[in-house]
Amino acid sequence: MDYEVTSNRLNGHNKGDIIREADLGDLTTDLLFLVDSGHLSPLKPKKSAKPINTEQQE
Amino acid sequence: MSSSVYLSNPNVTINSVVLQDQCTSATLNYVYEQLQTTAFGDTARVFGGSAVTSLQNNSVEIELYQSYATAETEATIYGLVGIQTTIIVAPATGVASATNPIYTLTGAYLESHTPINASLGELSTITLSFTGGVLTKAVS
Repeated sequence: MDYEVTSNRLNGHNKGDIIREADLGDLTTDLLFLVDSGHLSPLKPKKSAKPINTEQQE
Repeated sequence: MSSSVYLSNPNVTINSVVLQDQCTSATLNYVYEQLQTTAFGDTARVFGGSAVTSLQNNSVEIELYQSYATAETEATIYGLVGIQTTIIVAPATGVASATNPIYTLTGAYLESHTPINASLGELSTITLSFTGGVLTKAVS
């Protein structure tokens, strides 16, 4: 899962960066801790668009 | 005195969160526990030795201004009580070098925290004591 950096305090990252857990190498706590404390926000995967049916119905 | 250090812009990172601009003091203690190796024939107490490795017993004490704003001191520290985390302290920001060694204390334990420590007319501060963990020093 990707996360958006939501504060200017995350080591080596800027606000607005999109990162993964592996990008926080020296982190020993659960990543959710940084979410709860306002430094990260999980990015929800985008839903795929519904397919358009181009076949003509009789 | 050939040189001196005046720390005005050190790097202080707790659990990957940079709290440099809230920090007023940082003290890192690098300790190997003292093991006595005195034996018959010695005429004085002997500690340690080339073949004797003791346990590290490191600690770091950090003083911060308290802030209850989003992603500031309280939000970053409160959840760390009772668990291990990683502390990074360096004399200055930037990359590691011989003149800017970066010290990383991995697995440091925070036993307590004082969320409220306020007096009339003064900025609220907190003092955190992290104990334990393995200390590494990077110079490149």
